[in-house]
Amino acid sequence: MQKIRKIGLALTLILSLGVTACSSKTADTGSAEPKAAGQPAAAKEGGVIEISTVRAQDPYLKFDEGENFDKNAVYDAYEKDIGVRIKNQWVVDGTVDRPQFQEKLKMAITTNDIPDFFPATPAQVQQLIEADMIQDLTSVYDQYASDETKEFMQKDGGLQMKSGTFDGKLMAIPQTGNPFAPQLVWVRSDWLKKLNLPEPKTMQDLMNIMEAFATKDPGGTGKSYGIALNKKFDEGALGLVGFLNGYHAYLNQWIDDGNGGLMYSDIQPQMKEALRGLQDMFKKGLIDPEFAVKDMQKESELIFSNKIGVLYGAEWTPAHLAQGAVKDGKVVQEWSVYRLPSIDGTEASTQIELGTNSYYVVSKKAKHPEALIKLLNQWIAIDNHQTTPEQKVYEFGKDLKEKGNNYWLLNPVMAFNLTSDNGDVLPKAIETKDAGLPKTKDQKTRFERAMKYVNGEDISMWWEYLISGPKGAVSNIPYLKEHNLFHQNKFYGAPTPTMVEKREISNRKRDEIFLKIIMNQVPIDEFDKFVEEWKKLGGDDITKEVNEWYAKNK
Amino acid sequence: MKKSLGRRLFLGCNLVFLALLSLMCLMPILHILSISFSSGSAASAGKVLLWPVEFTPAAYQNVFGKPEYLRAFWVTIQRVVLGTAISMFLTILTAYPLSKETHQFGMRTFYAWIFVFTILFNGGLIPWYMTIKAVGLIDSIWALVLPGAVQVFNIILLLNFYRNLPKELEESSRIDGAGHFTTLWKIYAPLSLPALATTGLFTIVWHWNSWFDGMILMNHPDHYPLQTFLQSIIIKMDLRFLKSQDIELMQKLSDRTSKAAQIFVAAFPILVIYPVLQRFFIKGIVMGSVKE
Repeated sequence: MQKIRKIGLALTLILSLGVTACSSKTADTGSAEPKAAGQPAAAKEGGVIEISTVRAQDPYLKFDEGENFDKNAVYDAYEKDIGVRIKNQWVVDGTVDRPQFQEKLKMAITTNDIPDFFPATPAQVQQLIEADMIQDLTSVYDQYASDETKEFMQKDGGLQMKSGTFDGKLMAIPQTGNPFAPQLVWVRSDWLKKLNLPEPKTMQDLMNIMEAFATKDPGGTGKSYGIALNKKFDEGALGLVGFLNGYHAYLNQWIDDGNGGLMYSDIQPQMKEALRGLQDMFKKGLIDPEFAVKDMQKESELIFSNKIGVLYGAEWTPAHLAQGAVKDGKVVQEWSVYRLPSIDGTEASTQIELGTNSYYVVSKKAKHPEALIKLLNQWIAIDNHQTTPEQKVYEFGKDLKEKGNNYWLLNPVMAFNLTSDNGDVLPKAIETKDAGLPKTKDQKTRFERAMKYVNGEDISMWWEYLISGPKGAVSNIPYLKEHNLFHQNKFYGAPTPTMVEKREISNRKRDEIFLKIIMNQVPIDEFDKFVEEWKKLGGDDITKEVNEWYAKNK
Repeated sequence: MKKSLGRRLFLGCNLVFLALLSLMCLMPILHILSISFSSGSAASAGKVLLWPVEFTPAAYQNVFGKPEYLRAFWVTIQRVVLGTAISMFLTILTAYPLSKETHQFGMRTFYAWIFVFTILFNGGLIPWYMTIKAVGLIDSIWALVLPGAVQVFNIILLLNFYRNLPKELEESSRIDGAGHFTTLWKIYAPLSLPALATTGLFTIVWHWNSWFDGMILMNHPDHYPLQTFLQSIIIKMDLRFLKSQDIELMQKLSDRTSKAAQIFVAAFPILVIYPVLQRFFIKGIVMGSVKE
């Protein structure tokens, strides 16, 4: 009897397992039925259309009580204001460009289980077009995009929109951004004062400064270096790009060859000269011999511990430097920022890219592609001019005021200004403490942060002052624009077939040779061999493909 | 009983070598531990080695005040408990019949090979994902528990253990009127406790450490197990395409002490479990393998 009862118990257990397993949520894919959606089903006036997407949940997004990613004030506002209900097919932790999101998206693409719209990388856009999984948005965009949107998206002269256009069809809407992000040089100003050195106007000045910093050891640590580099050449801070630009060499760009075609920047003679410069610096002991194995954060330890006082970096560099510069409510390292010094009489141009690397694409199966355009219209409207106080909901959630919860991250479609006048507005506003000057949301936030530092309320906001304040990073941008010192990559198409195949290898080869040259392990003439090898390793084919593209898109 | 010089030399070298080896294993943990107890500025300046600099428990207060972290911890505990229970149950149930001779269980060899086959070959990532999706497990705790429930390696371990139990045990229980189930649960299972502890430990560690399935199979960060959550905070940001809006976020991301604290708290339970189960451990593995 007991035996039977025991077996019965075991069986019940197994069964209940099976039942709970099956009943726990039947797949909530919500994927639209695979109906051909040639014509956008005419949205009934006043009716709500639904569109599914996938999202990444930024760790700094904090939800209000009772809200979550599927049900929140921002999604509700979109449904109420423009009649678009957004449905998350899935949500991952992190940001869109991190592996969590990319892995899951890759899986969705491979299993043909993509949502109605989602952000894709240029390579994915290409892949999705080839697989015939996304639809042509040309007519939908024409019909539904507001005049404001159309104007907004063209503010850079149309390059970014063009990069989403394939064979004359608009296949992908760029998540626009401001391409004018210069590299600048950052120098410890308290050390300059201590050693009585002039500001770096030319590369020679900068070399002298680096040498003085390395030999005279103003940090008093016993072992100093001249400049902070890290193993990734194109890193936004502690990278190599700013230095190369000082020699009029550009990293991984396609530049004018003087005959109406394009050529690759990494193999030009200017690059050789820049590497020669670096090799000389290495010989003099200005470069940390271990930089080739350190990432940015690791190498930065030398900056934070007063061993290095010069680095190249983008305008946001102070946000990184603050880790070592501000301690216990006091600024313990003073930094100043300068435009890139040049090796000769010609001013240095700072290299920039297209300004976007993410595109919104719409699945072939989506029934309401126009929903994406409507979301875009609404975002552009509320991000640039808020007409009613209720519209603050898109920025802050239901309480309509700043709580540091980053609710703006919930907006499913975002496009950022393609130009920015922060450089004209902010330094002046902060210097004169004029709260009337900042106009856009971004400017207001930055102004408030910098003011907290200026008024002594919050010294940790030092970094914003160094970015936006007078003599701050952005104050250099108007000058750079005026004198045409932005060097744009001339190639902005999707990666060409040979690039996809060979780029990884040839980049690794490049990094290896460049590192060896910098670290004085091989003579500088090794560079010429690298050039030959690059050409043989598919470089010639890539050049051909890029020029074919250029001929079409000039 | 005096030891020869050579012997003593050997013992000495051995001692030094093993000490160095264990030191090498200990150092990283100590390093993480001392970073987690150091002040933020000391940690980012690289001053911390094996002893906390400017001691502060702030990172731990931060970690235990984080609802996401605690939620992920809870998911992992659920997963380990459920996963280990189900897996052990299935392991025992599968190992018993497979440990019988062919004349008792005719298809034995056939079934055994099917199990072995799954060790050598698998369908790959995409079919794995599609299967789990098709049976509707996606985004539930069962997706983490059921797909790996049958651990063939553990089954083989236990199977060999059962085979080495004296046949007389089974025969005598048969004579006393016990069926297969009684024999299994009343005789075999209690006798195989060391082997069960070993396989149980393997399963616990496996469940505790896996992160990839959580990342691929869960549709909401609320459902992430701990290791998936940790992976998402520790991986670095790509700074090349930083938007101006991200700056403030980046400032907070470089928080090394908090990361270290989260890593340490996540590793702690396993560190505790090991010594407790270790006394069974060696016995468990060896017992299946040696015949007297």
